[in-house]
Amino acid sequence: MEKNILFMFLRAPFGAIYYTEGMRAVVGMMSGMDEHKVTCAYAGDGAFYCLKGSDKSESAGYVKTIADISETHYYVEKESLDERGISEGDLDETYKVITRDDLARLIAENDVVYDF
Amino acid sequence: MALYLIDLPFAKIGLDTAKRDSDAKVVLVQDGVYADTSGLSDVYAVKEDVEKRGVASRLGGAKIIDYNELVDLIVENKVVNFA
Repeated sequence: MEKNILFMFLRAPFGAIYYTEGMRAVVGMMSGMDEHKVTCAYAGDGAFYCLKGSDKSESAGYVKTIADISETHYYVEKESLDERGISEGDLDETYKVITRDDLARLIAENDVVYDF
Repeated sequence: MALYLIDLPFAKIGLDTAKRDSDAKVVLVQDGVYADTSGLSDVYAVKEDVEKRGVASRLGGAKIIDYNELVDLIVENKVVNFA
């Protein structure tokens, strides 16, 4: 049975493998028999991954596979950006800026919430 | 309506997000028992973590629960993990 799943990426990338293991889990959720609908939201220190210059090569394959399966939304939370002095101009265009209110709404709307 | 598991590293974003959920249940685990939960009404704290840290008198209105009760809460609710 298809579900709506929110993946929250809360941890700073590159210090651990959460950021890329999370993407692998997204592929698994989308390409399995149930073909779940997935949304990705970067918040907290996870927002650092959304910088233009961050090395996304390790998860590029997952991102491509996800794009082949279906359109997926990648969000980054504004309050987390502000807390870390990151401006929208610093961001990779893949990531759309949302507010904490939007994040709370995504949490409420999705059937399941995972964090990486 | 969701159950928010909160530990200290993600306490700020977790508690701030939970405040936007009018039916939020919040459970403080591990170092999360140090967090300030003012503004939230349905708060629990894990007994072992509270006793080890000696913060029972600093919990405000949080209800102290044991691991069995924590498992019940997890099974009965949609869980959002900020721990």
